[in-house]
Amino acid sequence: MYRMLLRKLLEAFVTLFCATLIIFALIRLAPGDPVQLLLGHPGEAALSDKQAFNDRAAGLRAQLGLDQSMIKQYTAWIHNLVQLDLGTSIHTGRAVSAEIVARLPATAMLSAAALLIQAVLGLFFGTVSALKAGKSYDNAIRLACVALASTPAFVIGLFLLSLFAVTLGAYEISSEAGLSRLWLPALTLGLIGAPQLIRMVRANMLSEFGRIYVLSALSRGLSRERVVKHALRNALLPVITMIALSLTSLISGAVVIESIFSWPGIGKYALDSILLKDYPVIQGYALVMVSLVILIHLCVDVVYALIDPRIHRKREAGAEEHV
Amino acid sequence: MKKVLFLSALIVIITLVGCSNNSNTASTGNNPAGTKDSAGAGSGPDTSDKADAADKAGNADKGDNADKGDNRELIVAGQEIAASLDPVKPLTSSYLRNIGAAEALFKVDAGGKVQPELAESAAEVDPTTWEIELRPEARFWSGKAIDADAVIASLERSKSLDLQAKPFLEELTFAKKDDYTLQVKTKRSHMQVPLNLSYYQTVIHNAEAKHDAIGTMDLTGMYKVVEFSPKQKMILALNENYWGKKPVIQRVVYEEISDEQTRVLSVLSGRSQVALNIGTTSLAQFRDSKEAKISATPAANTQTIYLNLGKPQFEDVRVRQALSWALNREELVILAAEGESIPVSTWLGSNPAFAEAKNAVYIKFDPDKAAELLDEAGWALGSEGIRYKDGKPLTLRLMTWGGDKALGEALQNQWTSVGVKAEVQHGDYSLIQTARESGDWDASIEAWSTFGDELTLLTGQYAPEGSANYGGFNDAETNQLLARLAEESDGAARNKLALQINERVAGQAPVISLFPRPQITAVSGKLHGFQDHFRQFENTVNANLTLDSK
Repeated sequence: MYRMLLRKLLEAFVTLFCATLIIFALIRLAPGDPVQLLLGHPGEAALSDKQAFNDRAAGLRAQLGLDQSMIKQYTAWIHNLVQLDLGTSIHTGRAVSAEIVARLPATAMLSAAALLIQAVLGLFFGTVSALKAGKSYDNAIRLACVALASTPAFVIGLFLLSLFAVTLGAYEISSEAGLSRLWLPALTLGLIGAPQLIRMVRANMLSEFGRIYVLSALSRGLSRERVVKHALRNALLPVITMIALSLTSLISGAVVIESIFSWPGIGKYALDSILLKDYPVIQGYALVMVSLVILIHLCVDVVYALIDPRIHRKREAGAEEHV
Repeated sequence: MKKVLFLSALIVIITLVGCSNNSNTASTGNNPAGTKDSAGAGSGPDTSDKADAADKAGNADKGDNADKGDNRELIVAGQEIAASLDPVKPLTSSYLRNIGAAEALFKVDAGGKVQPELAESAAEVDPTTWEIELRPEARFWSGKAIDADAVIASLERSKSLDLQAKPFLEELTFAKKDDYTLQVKTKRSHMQVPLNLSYYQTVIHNAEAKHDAIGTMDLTGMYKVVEFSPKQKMILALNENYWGKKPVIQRVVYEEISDEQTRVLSVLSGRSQVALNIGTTSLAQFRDSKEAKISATPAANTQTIYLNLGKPQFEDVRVRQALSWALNREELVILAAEGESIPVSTWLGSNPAFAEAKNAVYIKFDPDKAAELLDEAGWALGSEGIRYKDGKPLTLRLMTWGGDKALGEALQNQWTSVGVKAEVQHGDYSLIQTARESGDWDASIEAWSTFGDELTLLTGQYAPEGSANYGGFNDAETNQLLARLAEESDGAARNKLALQINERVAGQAPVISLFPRPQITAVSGKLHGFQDHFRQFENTVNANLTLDSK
């Protein structure tokens, strides 16, 4: 177990290092100059002296260290990272780590609530769909899944926002994060992620229903509810993995929903920074996301090993054979 | 399995509870996430207390508001709010002025006339000297007098730290005549000093104060910032010591709601009373609305197509002129601005002071003339409707950004009808910047302000050293006219020269002017006193605003 954990940690470290390289290079390959975006803004009077603008831009570029070679910029970034310093936002002049820490709870709250909704919807409708396979309930659920999965997130979000905020007056549009404002973006995000889970639960349940132990249990006179409970328990293992992994996609995929619901999370912050080419923020955001994905995958591996004795035993057996 | 499920549920609950505490804190404003840094960095306990007290007062007001439904709170939804509190940071002063927190010495009214704001009066003493009288009763939020020393310090700070203030301040030198009289020396004769000092980039702030926290920033407006979360929310409370007319509405909440549709829904739901920067595509949603109405005013800027004169197909002036003659501007206004603007055929036409330039040079939509000019230039119409010269097609790749996609497509359609193989590339503004740097672009759309000092505006656009002269226009006659304008002291003669330059440029067609970009604001039916302004982005909140109690 510890050996496995150590190996996974080493893998995580290598992945993280590769990620820093890719993130750094990709951001700088994208078109756009953050300094020009910061200094120049179409709409007001253009400068009568282009040279003054260029001089100021050059000064700011030097101040931000953007005039140095890519290698120097990268090493400076890594040097700061080692000291847990993600740098300073070009646009706001604030520490990126502080900005991310301030916004991460809002995203975590949204993702956790959406995950809960997704899990409840997935387990309930997936099981119902499997139990009523081929019948009208099943067809209706599958149709709803296809409709939800094929509708863009922003359409669902705006439809629900219009319905609950304007028509029903049951939701307040504002830029604050709070429990009273959580339910609608969480519901939207949960609805977007639910179809995949419903389909997976349905498929796993149907697979379990076809197994011999189910048939023998039924032939021995066990109640239908008890058999379903046993089947669900066995079908849950891959589903739990999927739920855990979908947390990463919920966190990173909340960008659109956060923007529509004006939810002050990390996704909206990242989106604004991408538009402004705010390198330190984009780098910081991407790195935090990569770290989160690695951490969640690591946790899933550990939990998987803990809850499935076969995996644990296989590893032990493998180790003994090797010896 | 049960343990795992229990653990997961526990984690979710802990996260929810933890986050709700955090968000509650942010919403009450006692320790908002975004203000933690600034308040902590720049202020002592007194400042935090001050902010807390103001917040508490604000929250008390909010509670009362819910009960009474009176003039306690105005909510404005903007596409973007300030990322900083310092007026010298890009665009911050614009947001602060828009919401009634900052003031300049002068202000341009809705009719385009410059009126005193923090200044009491201004007089031209001689061709290069102005004297500005200040208001002895005016005070900063801190209570400090807004005297000549404070004003000079503020303007000098803006001049040295804000590049965008440079066009308005670089030719001015400030000196104190007495405590409340400012002497301004100009580099050129008869400069319009009050106009220059009316721009938001010149807002007066206490240069001795630290503008990095709500407790230490020191401005002059009728509202004071009491809570600030960068790029999220700014809450302002009434400045009890304001020198001028005190507003009726006690508290203003300025929220960043970046998605346009969400801003629309925010007003339609009654949550906010003003939503700024509404796109033309959303106008239909307000047609039958009882909740809100639309305020659409053409801005003093011109949607302009900048042509890259370095491209061989645009070397011939007849091709550039043909591109302008081929445009049906009235149709463009309908297709791209839902009819909420007016056609303008030359660049200065969107400036209220140059109304006669609206329909100059390209007096009508004339595709025949466009075809004739292209024929003369050697671009013959091919069998498939595209023009060719030396075996090469007449191509034009138009780069658009923001909300100009529909405009780009309408232009593509109109140019294609005269034989130009036009294509539209819509994307991020940075793509246009990158293309300009590499020279790999044919045409792009942008809308610079046309309101202000004629020389500054025209030099910025058409002089070889102008920062908005993207296409590399360098015309000897235009340069000569610009030099004459710089020397001219008589107001009428300057006006005439500006029109002459404008006409010359339109004739040479390095750019093609279309129409002023419409400024669309959604305003709740419960809000009264909202004033349409051609510079709406800095004139949303005024002292006359009132809210219905119904």
